[in-house]
Amino acid sequence: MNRRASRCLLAAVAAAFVAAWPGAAFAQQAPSGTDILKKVDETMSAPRDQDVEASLVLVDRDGNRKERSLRMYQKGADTRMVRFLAPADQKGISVLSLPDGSIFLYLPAFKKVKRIASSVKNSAFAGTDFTYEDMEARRYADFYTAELAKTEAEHWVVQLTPRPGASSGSARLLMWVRRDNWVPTTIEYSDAKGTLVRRLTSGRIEQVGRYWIAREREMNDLAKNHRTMMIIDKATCDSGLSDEIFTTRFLEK
Amino acid sequence: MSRMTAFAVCACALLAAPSLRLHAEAVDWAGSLQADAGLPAGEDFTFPSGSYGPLGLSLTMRGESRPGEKLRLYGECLARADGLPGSPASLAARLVEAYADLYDVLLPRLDIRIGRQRIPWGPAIGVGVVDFVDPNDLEDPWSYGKRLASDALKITWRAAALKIEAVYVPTFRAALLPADPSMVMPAPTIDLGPLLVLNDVTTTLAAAAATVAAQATLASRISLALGGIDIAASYVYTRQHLPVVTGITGTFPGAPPAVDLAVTIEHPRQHVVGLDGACELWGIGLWGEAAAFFPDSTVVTDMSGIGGSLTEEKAVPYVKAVVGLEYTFPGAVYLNLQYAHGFFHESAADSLNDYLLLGLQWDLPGGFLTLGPIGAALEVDDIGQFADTWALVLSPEITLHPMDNAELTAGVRWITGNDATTFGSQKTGNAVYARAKFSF
Repeated sequence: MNRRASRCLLAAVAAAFVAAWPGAAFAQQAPSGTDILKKVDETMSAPRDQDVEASLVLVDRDGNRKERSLRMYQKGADTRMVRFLAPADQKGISVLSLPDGSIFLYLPAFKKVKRIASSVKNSAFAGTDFTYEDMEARRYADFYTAELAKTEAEHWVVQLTPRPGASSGSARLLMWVRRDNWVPTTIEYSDAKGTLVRRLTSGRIEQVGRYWIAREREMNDLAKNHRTMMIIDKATCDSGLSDEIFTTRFLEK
Repeated sequence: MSRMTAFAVCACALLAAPSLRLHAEAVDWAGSLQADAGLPAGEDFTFPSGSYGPLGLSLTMRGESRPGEKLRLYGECLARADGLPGSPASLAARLVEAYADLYDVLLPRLDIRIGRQRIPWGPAIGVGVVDFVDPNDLEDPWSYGKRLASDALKITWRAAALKIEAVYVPTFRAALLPADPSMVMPAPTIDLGPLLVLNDVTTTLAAAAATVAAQATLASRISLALGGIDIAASYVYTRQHLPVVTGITGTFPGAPPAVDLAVTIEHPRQHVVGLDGACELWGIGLWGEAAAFFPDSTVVTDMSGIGGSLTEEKAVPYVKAVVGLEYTFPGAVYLNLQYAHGFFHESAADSLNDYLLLGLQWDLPGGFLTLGPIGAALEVDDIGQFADTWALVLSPEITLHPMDNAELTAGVRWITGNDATTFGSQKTGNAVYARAKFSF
């Protein structure tokens, strides 16, 4: 092999290595924050619908645990129905969030569906560390502008800032997005003073059919030293959920 | 068991029979056990010795079954024991709700609910004026927002943003009154003049005839959700759930000046036309309700037997209204504020007073402790004479959630203000109380 041939072989091996590296397509030019957020939204809302059974474990600063279970139905990117199955004193509490931003709450004790004001979105959802806003189905790009903050070996790190007039409980989000599948693995929520107040981490990211699902998510309230783990026990995608599920009628059923 | 409930049970059994064979499922049971203890505090919080508040233990059981996709059965019953330890306790049990839901009957989204059921209408909290199908549950008059269920047939049809409900209640059910009914039914005031002395008052309830025509309630409601705004119009033809005075006759039982009064009370017919709406503005939840009442009653005052005259006064229509707002502040502090013109027991044009009601609640981090609701209700009978016509009820509570399904609550009720007002006349209702509730 002459010298020129060996240089070609080396270049080919190098090219192959670069091509195999996650995110190699962007090795020379990283995608914009907007593009990353768009891909995140596409990935997260890729299933036409989702039917999820999940357990919630609430852990306080002393390690005391409380458990909840819920069933969550989602259609597209912005329609979701969540119903608590346990414990007994919360069983039947249901929340419906619709694409127009409306949130309806059904409390079995009152026997009626109530439209709730958006000011509640930043409040804890049924005592967990997730807020009503977290439990809504929403496209990030509708509410935030994104800027690529840094590039790591396996993640893009994107900084999200609420769009003017958009409803958001946080002044800034920092999101770690996996470069190989566009699934966010960590989101840090900061307040207007720049203080980090909550951190969401996603684990056991697995492929269910054609889609990526994080089977474990943990929301950590750093100020309260309290955390809530959401463990997906069962997830079914594209089962053809009826539109009837996403109605106030279904809340009352 | 009323005829209606019996009918509902039979209807459900017949309708469900085929489904039950195909989709036999276990009944999903749930319930709660609640212990209440109260201590009357007296007008000046001096805790008079020998006085005891309500002590009670109540067990609620709920069962739900879905034998088929288009059928749901639900029942809830309450058993309660009241009394001091060691004393003969009163025991009571009642069917709170028992109904069958039939979905998509004949038409898509045409649902029928038959049996004893709560029919809650309107967005207001506790002081709604369009929530008028069900009778008041005033067993504890301080929980004035509670309602009993009605033995009813309700048909609901939905199409997109439109919802139409029609209700038929064949038998009249009066409000459940407190142990001391005068708390919610003030005695009539009769000026006998300086020469006569009141000797005795007898009160007789003139019950409605036991016919469907006399007893039935008809109601309907049309609701529309339009771009974040919910609006609804309703109509109810029913009897007043709280009895009102319709006759007063004065006689001399012997020689003057002693006078006996025979008072007749009844639940007269009335038409109620309601409008309500709810929306959101700048993150604030807003709602309003208004209801026009057209009572079909006449008060006959016959003093001819004691030298007076006979007069007839027909009840005139009146309007009650409530507007409210709610907001959740950062840190899980929830506030609601309502202004009500006319309270649940005020049912005459000249008896409507104004009320400002506030509810505040703070769920502490981790859900271990809830401060509130801190309830405050301000009554003003005449804004022009505020100093002489106001009263205030403060009722802060604190609830501990030591574990899932358990809550321990302690609260105080403190009443102050003018004695002539509704609230002010109930200062003996000052109390401290505690409650323990376990759900299962």
